[in-house]
Amino acid sequence: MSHLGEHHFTIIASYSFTLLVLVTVIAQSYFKSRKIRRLLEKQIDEKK
Amino acid sequence: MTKNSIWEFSNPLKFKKLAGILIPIFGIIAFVCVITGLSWGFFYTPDDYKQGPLVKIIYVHVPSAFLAINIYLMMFLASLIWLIRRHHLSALAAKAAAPVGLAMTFIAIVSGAFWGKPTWGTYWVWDPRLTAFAILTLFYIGYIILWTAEDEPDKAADLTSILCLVGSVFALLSRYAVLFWNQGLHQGASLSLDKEKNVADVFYQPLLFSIIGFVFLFLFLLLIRMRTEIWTRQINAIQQKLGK
Repeated sequence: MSHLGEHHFTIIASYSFTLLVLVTVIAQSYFKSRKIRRLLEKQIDEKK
Repeated sequence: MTKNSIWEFSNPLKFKKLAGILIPIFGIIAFVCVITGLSWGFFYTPDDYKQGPLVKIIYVHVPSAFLAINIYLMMFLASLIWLIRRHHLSALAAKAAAPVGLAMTFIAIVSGAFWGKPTWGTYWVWDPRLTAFAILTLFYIGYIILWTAEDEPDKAADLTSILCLVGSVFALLSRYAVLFWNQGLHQGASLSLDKEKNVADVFYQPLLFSIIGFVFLFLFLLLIRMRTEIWTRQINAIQQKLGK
């Protein structure tokens, strides 16, 4: 990381925070979607 | 309604079918463009003559700020469609977009603060653009809370749509505050539709990749979240039928 000079912490922190937030939103959306889909399938089976 | 009208997709069944096709495509484009844009910007761009390596923050700050403002404007359009045409999918689109918009706002504010400290000497300053952005964040939070506060979906959609219309003023202010009030520390727009170039090509090309990646990531998340909302409503409808 020598090419980032004295500001390496600032730059890496910005990128890390961004990636952390993006991964969190993607994971939350995906797992909620999967959970709701399974619940819906279960409800449809019960209805039958 | 003509056969090929865009309103065809306000039918949840048709929408879910289309979403099933588009979600993986958007996901792949988003992944490739975000990884390319960020790694190109981080590893292979030169330092700026004034800011040195700090310019690399542009690849996360500008796309997130661009989306934070434009997602709110998309929510504004969706809310307007709900209020005028009463398409349920448009209300769900606005609801599904809000948390993603809020996440983008947080990224823009935090990366901006990290950038501001070494260049301006402070993490935050109450200049017109930053203040409008802070108020926009509050509108995002208020919008999400209001959806959870009202149980009746149509009434919740009405209330949140009106709140969204009011907040859109601050989305526009966030974009144009630098032009309205020629003061404050924040620089002018990095991206504009005029011919004047504000960013040199060597920085602009990876930035473009990053922005395209963030836009497709938003579309990917929007479709996933809208589909989840439709499934949730289906579950509620089944439970009501079963008398639970």
